[in-house]
Amino acid sequence: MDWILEILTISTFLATIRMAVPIALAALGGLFSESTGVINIALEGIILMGAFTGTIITNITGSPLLGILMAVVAGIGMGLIHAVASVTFKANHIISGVALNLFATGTTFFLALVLTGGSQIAVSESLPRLWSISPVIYLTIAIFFASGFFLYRTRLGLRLRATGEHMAAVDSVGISVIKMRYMGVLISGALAGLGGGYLAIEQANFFTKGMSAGRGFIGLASMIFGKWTPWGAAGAASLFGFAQALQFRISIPFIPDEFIQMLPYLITILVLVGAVGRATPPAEDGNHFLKEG
Amino acid sequence: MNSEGRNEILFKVLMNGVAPLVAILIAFGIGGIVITFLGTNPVQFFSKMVEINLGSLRGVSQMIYRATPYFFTAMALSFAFKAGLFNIGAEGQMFIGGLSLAWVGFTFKFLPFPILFILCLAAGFLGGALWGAIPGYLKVKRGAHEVITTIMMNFIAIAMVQYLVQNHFMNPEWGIPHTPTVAKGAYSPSLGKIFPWFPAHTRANVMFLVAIILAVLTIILLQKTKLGYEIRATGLNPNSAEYAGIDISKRTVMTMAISGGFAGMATANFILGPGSHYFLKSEYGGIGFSGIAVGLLGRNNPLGIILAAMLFGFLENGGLGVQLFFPNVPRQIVEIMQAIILIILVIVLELSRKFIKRLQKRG
Repeated sequence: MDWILEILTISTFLATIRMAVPIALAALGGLFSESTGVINIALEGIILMGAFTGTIITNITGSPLLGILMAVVAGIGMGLIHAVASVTFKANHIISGVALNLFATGTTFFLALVLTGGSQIAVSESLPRLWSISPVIYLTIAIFFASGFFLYRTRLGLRLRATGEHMAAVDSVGISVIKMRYMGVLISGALAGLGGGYLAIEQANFFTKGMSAGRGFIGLASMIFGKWTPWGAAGAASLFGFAQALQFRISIPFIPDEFIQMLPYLITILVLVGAVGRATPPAEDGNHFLKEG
Repeated sequence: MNSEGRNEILFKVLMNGVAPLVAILIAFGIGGIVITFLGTNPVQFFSKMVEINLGSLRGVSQMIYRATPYFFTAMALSFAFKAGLFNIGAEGQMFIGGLSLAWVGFTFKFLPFPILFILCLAAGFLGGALWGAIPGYLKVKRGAHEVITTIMMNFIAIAMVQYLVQNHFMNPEWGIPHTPTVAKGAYSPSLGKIFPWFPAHTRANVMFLVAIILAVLTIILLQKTKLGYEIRATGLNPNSAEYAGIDISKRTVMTMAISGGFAGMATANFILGPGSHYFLKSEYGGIGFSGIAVGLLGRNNPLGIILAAMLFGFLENGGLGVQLFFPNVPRQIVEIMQAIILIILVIVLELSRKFIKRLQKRG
C-alpha cells in the first residue's frame, strides 16, 4: 500500500503543479481564442514553437528571462498566422490549426538540426527559483486570477466573450469583430507560447523534437472539461497534471500507464456526450464573420 | 456562353487548378529561400530531387511506395467531407486498422495468399471503420462534435495500440516494440512481380493498385449509387436531405465508418508490402495528419488525391535521398514545405471564392 502514501506527499503535489502549468496555460489560451469564436487546435504547435524559441534564445543570450519572453513572442507570431488565415482570410479554423501544427513540428526539428546538428538541445540556464519553485508557476497563478477578472469583470473582456456568443450583435454596436478575434487569438498564442517556454526552460531543461507530446490537446481537453471557464480549466489541468505526475513517479498496481495517458481524452469524450455534465461551447465557435452588403 | 456558365468554369479552374499550383509554387519558393540561406543552390537541390524520384523506374517505385499511405488517410478526410463531416481522426483510425490487419496476418498463419492478404485488408478496414464509426455515433446520438471527438480518439488509439503491442503481442527480447511478423500469405506483392517492365524487388506494391481501384470505386459509389447520392445530399444540405426522407443519422455513422476504413488500410503498404512485415507504431506517426493536407490539395477528388499523394511521396522520398548529396540541408525541409502548401492553399481557396463572388455580383 506504499503507493497510496506516495500519492499524498508534498513532492507529488509539487510535481502535479509543475506538470499542470503548461497544460493550464494552453487551456487558458484555448479559452481566450474560443471566447471570441475562433477554434485553436494549433496550441500543440505553439507550445512546441515556444519551447524551441525559448531554448535557443536562452542559450544565445544566457538569459532565461529573455528566453521566456521570446517564447511568448513566438507564440504570438504563431497566433498571428492563425488569425490571418482563419479570421482575415476566413480559412477553416481546424485546417489552419492542423497546418500550423505540421509547420511547428517540421520547423523546430529542422532548425534544431541546422543550428546544433541534433534533435535535442540542453538549456544553459533556468530562472532563479523563488522558494524553490519556478517563478513562472507564480506568474501562471497570477495570470489565471487576472484572466478571471478580465473576462468577467471588464468591458473589454465582456466584448471578447460576446464576440464568441453573438458576432452580429457585437458588430451592430460598432465593435470590430475582427479586432476582437485577433485579440483573442494573439492572447491565446502568447499563453501557449509561455507554456512552451516554461516546459523547455523551467521544467525539462532541454528542448527535444516533438516535446509538446500532446500537451496542447490535453489543454484543449482541459478547456472542455472545465466548461470554458478559467477556473474550470485550471481544475481540469491540475487533474491531468496529477495523472501525469503519478505516471512518472509511482507505478500503481493493476492500472497500465497507457490507461492514465488516455484519461484526459477519455474524460473529454465523456463530457462531450453529456455523461459527466453538459458542456456548451461558445455559440459562434468555428463560424466566420461575414458582413452583409 | 453566358456569364454564369463562364464564371462556373472559371471557378472550377481557380479552385481545382490554380489554387493548388500556387500553393505548391509558393512552398517550393519558400523552401528554396531557406535552402539558399544554408548555402546550397536550390535549383541544384530540387533538380536532384527530381532525378531521385523520376530519373529511373526504381526511383518512381520508391516514390509510389512513400505516396501510397497518404492516399488512404487523405481519402478518409475527403470521403467524410462529402457528407459534410470533418474527420481528423485518420491518425487514430490508421493505428487501430494497422494493428488489426497485422493481428490477422500473424494469427491466421495457415491461410494461403491471396486469402490472408484480403482478410488482412478487411481487418484493417474494419478496425479503422469501428474507430471512425464511434465519433459518428456520438455525433448523431449525443451531439458531440466530430472534430473534437476524433482528435481525442487519436490519442486514445495511440495509447491503446502501444499498450497492446507492449503487453500482449511483443516479445520482450526484441527491444523495439513491434508485433510478430505476418505470414507469407499476407504479403502484398511488389509491383515488379506483376509488371515485367517494372524493376524487380522494389518496394512499391499491390497496395498502390488497391488505392487506384478504391479511387475508382469511390467515384462510382458517390456518383452512380443511391447511397452515394444520399451521402452527398447530406453534405450539401442536411435539412433538405432529411426532408427528402434520407436517414441522416444512419448516413452519418456509415460515412464515418467508411472514412475510418480508408484510414485503417493506410499502413498495409508498410506491413504487408516488402519490408519488415510487422506493425511498428513509431514508423507511421503523422501520416494521418498529413493526409488532411493531401486530401485538400487533391480537392477531395479521388483522382486528384492520387496526384497530391504522389507530390507528398515525391517530397518525402526526395527528402530522404537528397540528404546524401546535400547533408547540410536536413530533410525536414520537406515537412515545412508540406505545411506551407496546406496553409497557402486554404488562403488561396478563400481568395478565389471571394473573387468569383465579386464577379457574380458584377454580373
